[in-house]
Amino acid sequence: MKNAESALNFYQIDNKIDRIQGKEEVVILPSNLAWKNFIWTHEYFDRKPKQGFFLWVKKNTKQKLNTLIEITSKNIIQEMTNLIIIEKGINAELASFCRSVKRVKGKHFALAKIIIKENSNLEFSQGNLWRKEDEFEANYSFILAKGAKLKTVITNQGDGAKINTKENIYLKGKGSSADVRIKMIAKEKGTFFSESYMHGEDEVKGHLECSGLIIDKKSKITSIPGIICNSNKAELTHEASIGKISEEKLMYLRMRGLSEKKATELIIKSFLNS
Amino acid sequence: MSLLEVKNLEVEIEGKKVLDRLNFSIEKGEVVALMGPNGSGKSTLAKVIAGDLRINLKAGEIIFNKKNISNSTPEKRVEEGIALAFQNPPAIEGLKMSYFLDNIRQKKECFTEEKFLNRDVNKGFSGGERKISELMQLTCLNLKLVLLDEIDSGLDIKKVKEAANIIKEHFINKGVAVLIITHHGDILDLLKPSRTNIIINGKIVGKDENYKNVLKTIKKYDYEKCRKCTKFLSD
Repeated sequence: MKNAESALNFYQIDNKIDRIQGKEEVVILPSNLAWKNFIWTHEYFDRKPKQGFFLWVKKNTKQKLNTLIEITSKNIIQEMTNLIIIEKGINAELASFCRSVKRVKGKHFALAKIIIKENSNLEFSQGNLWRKEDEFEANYSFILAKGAKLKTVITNQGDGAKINTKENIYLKGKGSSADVRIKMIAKEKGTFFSESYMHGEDEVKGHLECSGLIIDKKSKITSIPGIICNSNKAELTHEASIGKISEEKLMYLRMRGLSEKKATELIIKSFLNS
Repeated sequence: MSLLEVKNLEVEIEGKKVLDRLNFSIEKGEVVALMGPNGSGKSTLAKVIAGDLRINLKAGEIIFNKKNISNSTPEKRVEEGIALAFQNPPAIEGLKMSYFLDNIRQKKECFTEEKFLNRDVNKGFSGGERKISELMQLTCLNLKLVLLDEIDSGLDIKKVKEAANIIKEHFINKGVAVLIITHHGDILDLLKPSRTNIIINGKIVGKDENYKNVLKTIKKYDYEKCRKCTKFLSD
């Protein structure tokens, strides 16, 4: 874990920033400081931020960027306002993870805006893992300029948590494209309400895929994917599926000697990787 | 006492009798064949022995190594030493074969087909690749009995030989008992079972120590008329 933590560009535990590590090519600041130092960010922040990170990729960087936000203590409330800006013509890769590390009855509210400027590419993975009695609400907006490309996988796992998420992907500029996959895993009476919309504003291409896996009888997933074409040149597609664990696969793995619990773990892993 | 004894096994699926008071046994280290037409109950018998909990036993019992395993979980049966090579194994997208093998591995030395390791389990595998993949997985387990469900179906002669070599090297030569379930019997010449059984409508209707007699009889009468098989078999 030491090595994993040292690779983090932003690491917040409960309400304290543990590590923040920018570099020449990438400015990383707490959002409230970015609000103060860069007036131009006000047009992107929807509100004056209390918490969260500002990540500004100004030049190409070979290194993958990583952020981690955790709740480790009881009854913590995190109110994150995150802003990610990828400047013109940049290729960037970002992995972001939010979680409670044990049963803490935490609340995590995230409002995130991701701006991908002209001819930039962003590969973005967002993982969320929340446990029993946690509440997680997230609202992500991705805004793509001319020729920008986005490839993203957002995985939300709720082991008994109440999860409410919304994603909007705005393909604004001509030639922009996005491949967005939202994965949800509901366990131990976990509930999900997820809305995901892709907006085509010009000659753009986009695919939105929402898939859910319900592990037990008392968990619930509501998934509402939508594609909104505001241009007759936009090509948008979507797929959605929610299902339980395949009995056939589960039995197959158990017939190789794995316990039901281990076989379920492997199926969840395969779902996340597929 | 036999390694495996199946006694008066009855299975119904969706109201249809699939196994009908079936009796069957395999000795320690024995190579046995089970032949029958489509829908005769071959695969169901293999799955029931390997512990597929989706199939309910209506009556009868399965004794393995002197233990009644009729109600044991599939993982418990693997622990006891039984595993099945599936006729049509499911593809598991997102699960790398190498990672899967690391999770199931009970032995250091097993047969490994390098080209499968970086691929998802059974995903995009040809029919032949699936058969070899099934054998590869089983060679990583400590087994006393392997059940091979149609391991030769859909394979060309070269691949049947390849499968037979793996079976001989990793199971037969090491004293592991083998049940070969086959529709057309191509692999029997290579594995030379000591007994060949015929199953029709969920019942063993005949058996012979010489598999060649069985193959000849089936060729002559086809399975449709295989009630006559019993005339030729030393039951």
